[in-house]
Amino acid sequence: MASSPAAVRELQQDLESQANALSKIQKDIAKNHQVRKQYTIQLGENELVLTELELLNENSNVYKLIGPVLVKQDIAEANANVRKRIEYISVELKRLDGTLQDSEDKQNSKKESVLQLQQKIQTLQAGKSKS
Amino acid sequence: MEAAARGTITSLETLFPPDEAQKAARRVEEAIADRRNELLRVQGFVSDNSSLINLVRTLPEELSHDIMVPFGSAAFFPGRLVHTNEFLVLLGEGYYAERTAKQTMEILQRRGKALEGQVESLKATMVDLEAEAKFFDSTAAEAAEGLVEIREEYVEESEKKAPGSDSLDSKRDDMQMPDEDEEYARIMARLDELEKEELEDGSTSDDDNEENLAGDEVEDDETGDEDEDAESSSSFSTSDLKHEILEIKHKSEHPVQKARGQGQEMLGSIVSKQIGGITEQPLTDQPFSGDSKMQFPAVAHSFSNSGQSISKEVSRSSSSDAKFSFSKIEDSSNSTSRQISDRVSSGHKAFTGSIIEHDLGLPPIQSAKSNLGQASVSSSSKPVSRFKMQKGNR
Repeated sequence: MASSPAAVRELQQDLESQANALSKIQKDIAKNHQVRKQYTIQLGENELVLTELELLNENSNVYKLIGPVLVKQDIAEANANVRKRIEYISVELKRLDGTLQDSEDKQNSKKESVLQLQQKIQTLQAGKSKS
Repeated sequence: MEAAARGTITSLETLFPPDEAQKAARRVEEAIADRRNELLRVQGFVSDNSSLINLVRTLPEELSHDIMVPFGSAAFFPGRLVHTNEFLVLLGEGYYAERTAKQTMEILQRRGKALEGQVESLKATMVDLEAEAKFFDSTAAEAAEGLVEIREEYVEESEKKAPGSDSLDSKRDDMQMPDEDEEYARIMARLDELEKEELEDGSTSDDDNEENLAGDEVEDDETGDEDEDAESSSSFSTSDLKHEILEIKHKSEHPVQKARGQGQEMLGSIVSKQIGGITEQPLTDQPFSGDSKMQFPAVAHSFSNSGQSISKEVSRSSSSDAKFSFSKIEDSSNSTSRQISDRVSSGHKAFTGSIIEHDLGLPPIQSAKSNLGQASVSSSSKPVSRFKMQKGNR
């Protein structure tokens, strides 16, 4: 039964590669979560800034901290900037959500294939031991 | 004796392995610790915010403040704080706004409200997590104790060697709530089944009948105890009681058996302990019929013998499902229980070790068997169930 041990070895190699792919996908998912958390916090902060900016009356001074420099900014410009940033962050979040979903699906399918491989290996080994 | 009752004994250990339950508990505890740290952080922010509000409130009170200005990381020099009403407030994301003290205070207050909202949500999640952790802890503890979940089908049960009364008790507690409705339906179904069986089977023998009757009596006693805690139970010694009980027993066989399964171990132990000087003891040695009602005769007599103590224990150990069946029985046996309770009071005071009921003019009960024989055939002025009548006639 020379073919069986070879087949078993082959299957085991397949299993290893699949397991690696699975762990990679899981890492991707974890990173996704992290980035999503970051973006969510930023989005909240920007919304706070927007509400405060709207409460300012027209002649107030707004400054932006760029590195070590505090630059005076036009209040309308600041408003527009903050709004654009909010939009950008929301779009990023949506994109991340899509990728997360894809990764999760891939993860599930990989898990299934890994399980199947494991089962095949087990049956082969059981068959070998019987014969 | 019937074969062991069909059913499944699943150890709680297999359902909720204690190791895994403990791991889960630990994980939840970690999550709780994380949340707690977050909570502390946010609460730190809240306190900082409020102290800042106070500062902003006091600064504009003076035109200028004399202060020690920090210079580098280890030096200060005296200076003056001017423009005490102008504040550059950080709005977030690198944006600053020039505001007066009053406006700054408003900004800070709004920020404080947002922080408090965060604190509330954190606390809510923590409460949920703590509930989860408690559940896991209790499951782990129970599984570690070796609790076993025993599920049985509703068939004629033989004596079942369940693992200890402790597991029975706790199992009963565990299974009580979910099973109540199911139990009730099952009890009703079994009542019907048993009645049919009674009618179909006929009497196997007089002895069996007597034993069954005694068993009935015992079962009824037991169930009566379970239902009517304070009442009855203890002095079921009169033969007319037996009649009543038999009547009740027929109706309550199913639930009794079920209850019996649960209370069996306890009763057995109680009976063996408390049967003293009573001729009923031989009953315990009698072979148990398929109905396994036999054990009840011993129990019943022990009830009467030992007085209230047993009844109290039994009633304490009674299960809810027994109660359901007994609610039905109670109606029919109310009269009996009343009599029983009356006799209980008298039985306590003047218990002589032999159960003799003179009030109703029924033949005295000397020993279980002979009494049973007498009871089964003695004519009673009390109404007896049609089953009993049929049995007597056969």
